Amino acid sequence: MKTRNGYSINIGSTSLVMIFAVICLTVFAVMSYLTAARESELAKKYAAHTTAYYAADSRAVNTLASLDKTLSSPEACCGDINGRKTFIAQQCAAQNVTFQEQNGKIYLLYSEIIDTTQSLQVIIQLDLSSTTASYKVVEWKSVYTQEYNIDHSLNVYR
Amino acid sequence: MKNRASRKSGLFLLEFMLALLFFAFSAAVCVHVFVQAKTLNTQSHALNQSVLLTQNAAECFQATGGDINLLNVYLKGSVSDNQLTLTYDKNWVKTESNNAFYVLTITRTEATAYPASATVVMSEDGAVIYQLTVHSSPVSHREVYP
Amino acid sequence: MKKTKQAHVVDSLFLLVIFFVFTFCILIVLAMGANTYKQISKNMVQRYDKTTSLAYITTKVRHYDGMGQVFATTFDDTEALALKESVDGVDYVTYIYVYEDKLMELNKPSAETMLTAADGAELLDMQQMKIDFPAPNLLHLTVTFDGGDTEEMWLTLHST
Repeated sequence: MKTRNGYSINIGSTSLVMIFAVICLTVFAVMSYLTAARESELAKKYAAHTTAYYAADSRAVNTLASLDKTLSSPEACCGDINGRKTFIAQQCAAQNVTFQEQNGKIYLLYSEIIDTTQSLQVIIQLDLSSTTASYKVVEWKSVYTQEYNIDHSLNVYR
Repeated sequence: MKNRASRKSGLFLLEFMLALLFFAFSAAVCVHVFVQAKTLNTQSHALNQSVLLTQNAAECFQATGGDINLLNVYLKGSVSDNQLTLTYDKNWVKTESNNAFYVLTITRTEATAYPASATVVMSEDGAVIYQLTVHSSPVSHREVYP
Repeated sequence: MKKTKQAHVVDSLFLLVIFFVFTFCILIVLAMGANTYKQISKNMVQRYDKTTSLAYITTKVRHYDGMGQVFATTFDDTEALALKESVDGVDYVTYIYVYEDKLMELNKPSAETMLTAADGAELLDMQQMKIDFPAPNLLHLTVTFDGGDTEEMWLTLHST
């Protein structure tokens, strides 16, 4: 006759507990790593975008500096107004800057690419009324160059 | 009966040892993954903070036209030659230089007044986390319309 | 016979104790793992709010950097950053402000007066945003997030 004394653990309970623990631990570990990796990727993207913006900004400042030099030159400051305009327009063309006259005001426009979707657009307004060619920055904006189409579709069936 | 009981105990202990061995091995691997996740987390936080603080310094540099002394009025660091230094502790709180864990330096690089340029560097123990090169046109150089 | 019985009880007890110690240790390890994941997730959410809101304000200001287009104002008794633009001859203003612990954005025609702070779009969690201009071309923001974390942000306005 079979008799049982005391308590006993069945074979397999330890394995069951161990399997459960390993699955839970693996899930937590993988989820932690994926979360941290996604955050790291976002941080790197933002850092790259900031670097690209300041690179474009620096190029824009350098262009402004060379325009400033042009506007400080005697040909831009002295002589008749049409001659000054022609000189400035020629110098602008050499620097990829657009010379535009609108409603009696003179604008210089240029842009620097930040990345594939954005560029930095600069608009300067000139004043040639006095013997100095003074200017003011009217716009220094980052603009989107591509339309951003958000994909609202849901994957339903493959 | 004794033999059966002792066989059962033996089997249980054997199973227990194998389970323990397997669990120890998987726990070691998972702990390694946890540690990597925590490291990545710390690094990305450091990068985000570095970008923010470096950007702040760069923007102030542009606004002040490259004047390091005026820059110091806003950022409140320590100035020496053409360099402004700010120090932060482990929790990214501004601190004295002897408690410094992270160091932000703004070094004016161009000798010419226009455009002024600077290198803004955030580093930890000498290792660069993030850096920017920024150019500025002095505000006073332009005629400001009334 | 009695000794054999006791030996069997001790055997079983020993196995039970080992099993429960093993299970307890496993539970501790699982709790530690769960805690680590919870910390990482919580940090990510907090940092996401902070980084994204500051990046959002930076991008918006740079998008509107034109003469007189960026200024501080009060909107519905709330301190707000105003971004003005003109579209087809109509003036529009975008207000960025904090209302009921949320960063909000509201875009409306300048002439419109019916809308209030509650009508804005909720963006991210934020407790407070202070705006000032230490210089005409320098915007200074002091932002406080949930948990009391405070960050400063400086932005240059290139157009004067």
